[in-house]
Amino acid sequence: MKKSWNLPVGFDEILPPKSLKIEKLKRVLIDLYISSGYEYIIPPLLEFSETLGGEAHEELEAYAFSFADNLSEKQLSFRPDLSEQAARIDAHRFNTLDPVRLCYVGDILKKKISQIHRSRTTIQVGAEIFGDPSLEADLESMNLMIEGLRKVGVKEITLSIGHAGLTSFLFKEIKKSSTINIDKVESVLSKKSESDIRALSSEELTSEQVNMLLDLSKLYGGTEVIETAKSKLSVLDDEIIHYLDYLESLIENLQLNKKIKLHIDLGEVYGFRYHNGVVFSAYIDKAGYPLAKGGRYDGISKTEDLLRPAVGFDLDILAIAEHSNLDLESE
Amino acid sequence: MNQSGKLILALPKGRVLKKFCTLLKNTKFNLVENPENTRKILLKTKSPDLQVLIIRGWDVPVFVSSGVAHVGVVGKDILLESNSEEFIELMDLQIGKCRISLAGQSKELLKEPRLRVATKYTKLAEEYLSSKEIQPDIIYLRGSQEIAPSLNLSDAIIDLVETGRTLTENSLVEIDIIRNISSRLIANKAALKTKGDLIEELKTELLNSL
Repeated sequence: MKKSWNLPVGFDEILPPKSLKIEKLKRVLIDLYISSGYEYIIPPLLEFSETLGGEAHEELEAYAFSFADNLSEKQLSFRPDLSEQAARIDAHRFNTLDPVRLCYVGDILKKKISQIHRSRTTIQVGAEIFGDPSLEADLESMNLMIEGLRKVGVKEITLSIGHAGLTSFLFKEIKKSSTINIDKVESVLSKKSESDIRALSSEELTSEQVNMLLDLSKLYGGTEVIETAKSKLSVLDDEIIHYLDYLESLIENLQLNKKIKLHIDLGEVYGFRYHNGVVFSAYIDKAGYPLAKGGRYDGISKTEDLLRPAVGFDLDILAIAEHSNLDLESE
Repeated sequence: MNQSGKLILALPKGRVLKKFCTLLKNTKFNLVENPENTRKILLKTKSPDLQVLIIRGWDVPVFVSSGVAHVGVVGKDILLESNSEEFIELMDLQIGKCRISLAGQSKELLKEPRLRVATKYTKLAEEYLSSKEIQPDIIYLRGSQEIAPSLNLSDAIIDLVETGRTLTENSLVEIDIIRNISSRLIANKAALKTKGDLIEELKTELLNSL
């Protein structure tokens, strides 16, 4: 009988010259991060499902491809993200309270197929700063993400910036007064659907909360959006003003190349929802998806009473390979 | 803001296309060719910045999610069935208005603990029946749902209702309106960032001609 060599759905073999290009992309990016002061780590492919993702366990477990391991007789998960692994390595393997900079590259696997890439895997390369809560660390991370993209020949980048604190604040308020599933609110806000947001008023949300969701859903565009938010947001708590001021000074201090377009989206809900500070992502005109994503995710437990600040980003190498003009002969 | 590349707008074939073309007529994005007189799928408009793609309504979210089309027009019924998180809803176009309803041979069906429902809206049907604490038994049908109850394939149907005539002619009554439906302008999330100005321009032109 003839054997079928088909692969499982969502998997692919990568052949020359694309395979070589991907290898070069990895090397150029990791070399850049190492020369910028980041230490290279190799996180493990598999983890115990019960401890996967640390603080973001619930969220990552929902994405993870898991299976029973005959050896340990436990449930194991293939990593769906590397930044959380880097965070755990910083927290438990680096015995210092000083800032730690780590970079990594590796395959990730998710249990569901990406509707855009028609794949369950990709190669993630990224860099993270642990132990530094400053604005300068946020700027360093954003600039390094952009520098890496430009270095591998990605042109005409749009940098999108938001602040996860804004949506977190609102979700926290909603949880106090309603039993609604927050995933539903996130999903509705993520689609910016006015009618769906208004429909939430029949589900125990106060009119103030619905108005805040409506405001956030419309606050996207150029840098003027932050000023509009200050004058328009129906709930202007001190915490919200602090986030908006922070974004303003971050943008003031971002010394971007003139070719980079800036986009602000204050109501954006990101893929993994462990971020709680500034969030940023990079887009190009020809791709209907982000090439790189990052943000601040403070609060990983270093010791029992010490929460570690963290900011970082990762790039999707397979997506970048489609759009990079990296010259294979130049190295 | 710097804009590069054209915007591709995906439109659904059928009656909404006709109504949407009337909206476009008074804008700078009016179609050069009448889609009814051509078999071309990608059509030009008066503006060099916008091309129009004519496809099936159910395919519009797929084209827009992938970024192949940057914006699209699609019924809210189809959006409710889509699992994609990759597009946003920009505006309610106030066309293609109808409702999605539960219909059957008796108004008493909502008192049943379990219902066999014929529909093409499987996700919405499950959510709706569960919210009414009725055990859902969904039978996926692409079309002609109205005949399913009288042939005892199902107890009820969940489908679009415009005038109710099809229901009446097949001895069905509208039991419950689940949701009012209209066509929406949707945009790919990445396109909203990279081609935001052009998308806003299209939205403004459409708002002015509503």
